[in-house]
Amino acid sequence: MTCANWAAALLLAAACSPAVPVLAPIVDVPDASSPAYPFTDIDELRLSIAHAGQDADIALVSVAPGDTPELASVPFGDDLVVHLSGRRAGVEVAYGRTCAVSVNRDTNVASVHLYFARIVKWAAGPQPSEPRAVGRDAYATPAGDGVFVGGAADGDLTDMERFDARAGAFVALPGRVAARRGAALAPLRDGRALRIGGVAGPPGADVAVASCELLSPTAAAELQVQTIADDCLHLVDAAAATLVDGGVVVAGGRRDQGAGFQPSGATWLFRLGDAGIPAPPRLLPTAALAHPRYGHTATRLGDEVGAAVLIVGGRDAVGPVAAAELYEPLRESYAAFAPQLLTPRYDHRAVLLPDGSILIVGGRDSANRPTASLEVYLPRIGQFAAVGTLPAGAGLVGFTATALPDGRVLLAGGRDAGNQPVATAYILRLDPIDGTVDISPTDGLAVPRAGHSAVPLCDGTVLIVGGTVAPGAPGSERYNPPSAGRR
Amino acid sequence: MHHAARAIGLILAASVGRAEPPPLIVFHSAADPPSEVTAARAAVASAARDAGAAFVDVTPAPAPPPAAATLLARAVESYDALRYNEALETLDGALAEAARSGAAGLSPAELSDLHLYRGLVVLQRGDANRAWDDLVRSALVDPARILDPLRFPPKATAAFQRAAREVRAQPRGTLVVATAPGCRAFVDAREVAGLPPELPLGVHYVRAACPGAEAGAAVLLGGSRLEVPLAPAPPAPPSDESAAALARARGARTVLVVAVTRSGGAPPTVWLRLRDVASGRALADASVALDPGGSAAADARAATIRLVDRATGAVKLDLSPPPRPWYEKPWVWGVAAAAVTAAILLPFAITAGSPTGFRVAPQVPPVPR
Repeated sequence: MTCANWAAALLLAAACSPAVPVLAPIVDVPDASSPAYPFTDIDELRLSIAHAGQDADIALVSVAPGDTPELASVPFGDDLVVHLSGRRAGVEVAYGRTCAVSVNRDTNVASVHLYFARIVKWAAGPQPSEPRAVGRDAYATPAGDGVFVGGAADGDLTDMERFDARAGAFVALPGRVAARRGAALAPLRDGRALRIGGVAGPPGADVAVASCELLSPTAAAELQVQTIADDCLHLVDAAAATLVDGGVVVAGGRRDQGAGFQPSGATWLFRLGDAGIPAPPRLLPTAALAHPRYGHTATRLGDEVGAAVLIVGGRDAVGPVAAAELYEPLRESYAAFAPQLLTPRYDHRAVLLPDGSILIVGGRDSANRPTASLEVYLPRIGQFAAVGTLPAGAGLVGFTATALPDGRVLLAGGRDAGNQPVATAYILRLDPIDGTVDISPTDGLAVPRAGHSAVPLCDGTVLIVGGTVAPGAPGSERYNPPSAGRR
Repeated sequence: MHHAARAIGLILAASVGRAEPPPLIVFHSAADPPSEVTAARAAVASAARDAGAAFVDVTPAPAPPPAAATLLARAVESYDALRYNEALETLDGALAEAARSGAAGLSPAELSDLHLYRGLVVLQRGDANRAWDDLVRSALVDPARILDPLRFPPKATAAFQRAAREVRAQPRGTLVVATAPGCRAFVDAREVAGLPPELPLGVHYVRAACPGAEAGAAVLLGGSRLEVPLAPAPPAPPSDESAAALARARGARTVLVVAVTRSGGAPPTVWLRLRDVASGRALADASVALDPGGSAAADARAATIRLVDRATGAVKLDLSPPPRPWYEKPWVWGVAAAAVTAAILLPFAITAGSPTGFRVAPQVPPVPR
């Protein structure tokens, strides 16, 4: 074979060699004038890739700021996460990561976004469709996106939108929901959600909303909102919890029984039927709250099969309820349960902590005043314990409490003891050694907010939406926690 | 007369047969054997010497003594000297051994200290959550313990008391170590004599000590009852194949395996197996029970001599190899290996040139200089 023939053969071989796929995350950063801008004063940029949840990196490269970090020859795989870290004198001061992606030989590599910002800082996020909404129902899907539904802004809202964490942008959804306030929202395991009860109409002329809706943010337009039952639960301010087996239990609330809305002790159960559509709810004949209540919380105690649901706080016809109750899904009834809140309250927040205990924050007390007390329910010894007090200037009602990847809790905004919206934010951490809650102030919001919505995203950041009417205020803000627990 | 004598001599030579060399004698027993086994070994070795046979003892060496207690002492010293990283590494090594062995070599107080000091070290390093886990595990081993205020600071004492209160309030379950007769059972370094203990739910250490063997583990008691079967057995005696390999290396044509085993509370038994090295065929078997106070050693010597005589005596042994089955023919294996290699390499040849990985090139916004 001549030299020319060999050369032609080599060129042909090279031309036929498949190109190496490239994963090119789009790095989103806050504005350069923001305190969360990540490139200020850093002397090292570190790029790495690892499997989700793994501390060990598959590949790592370190460059000076201004240079372009790149990783070559990364093995194909599923559940891959790209990490970007900004350091100063070896200390991490900025961090961001993508959501998990799969990269294989035969698939087109999708472009993902990586939010990179100074840690423990808030920054303005993309503009949602309703930047001034309050009382918007919100939940995080298993894929790590945020879904925001309804609420009110100069009138009841009926829209839905999804924040796509991989694309870093809000996506307005064509589905339309019924206008309702005080509804119970229960996320399902597959990214859908149940919306139950509530009232509509002008303030002071509340009318119970009779239907229950199934929300499917990723379905075709005509299937995004489906009515489960036209005559569903006529409940306001009930509490719902999703069970491990996919069912949803709804307890308490207020029902219009002909003499105005009265506290109810009834407990209802939704179960997924054929084709994954929830059947109309079933009233549990042997399960009724010993203390009918509304404005309470229902929190599942864990992820094991049959994990119980703790009902805490709320108010009855007289005032706040101290008694807590425990719903046991395997028996479909309530257990004999004695523990009581130390400070009876309603409109509080309850957050499940990594050790299985439940943190109770804020709310209103027997005098209808915001309370700054913190309590924790310890399942292992079956008691409530006082664990501290929120500082002056903290939101006590209308705030959001979001669990962070490292097990701490982010409190943001709300109304203080004087009923004024605040921009303060705090990080709460339960110290298991001495049983107290460490409260540390963190970077505050850009503007005071109350009645806003918050969701944790798949990259470990927290996105809040709405809750303010201040002109020029960002419609959303995003909190960037430290990298601990975000692998 | 001369012709008759020659005929008788030929007949005698044919009937007596050719004498074979003595077998290789391979002896095996559990490590740390009782006295009757040691005496039997001496008797077998003596018989081997008298027969001019090579004697090999393949009894395993006794296991090294547990080191967890030594490591704990070293870790406490490091902790007191504020060398926390060193203390943590040493404690992790001790805890790993305790989990493997079921806390062998540790007293209950030492086992509790392993977790307690680990908790204190981790607390010094700022991880309160993990420190709490260790304090709870320390209290699980000894919930009634009261820390010495002269040894531990007040915060550590208060934290341990809190962990102990929580452990005492835990639901309890029964932990059963199911082991063979003649074995001793331990839970959290305490010997179990009588009813199985009722303990708070959580991680506990179990161990069974049997003649010649021990086994242990860390187990999770998560319900009302947990039964942990622990039946440690001494290392198995050599197989016929491995004994034959030993003999082949020494040029012996036969091998006599003398293995001492013990089960339950019965006295040890000596098993003798005479095998042909080339073919692996069983030529003779015998056994001797080593009853204490009897003539066990002498019986073992006599059985050894009997089998050695079988290997070297007048009875002509048929040592010709049996015909080879088709699956032992080399050319069959050669063809099979070629086919397997082709099946493995062909897909690689087909996909040669395809990328095996990808690049990561994030689109980082320009940084103002």
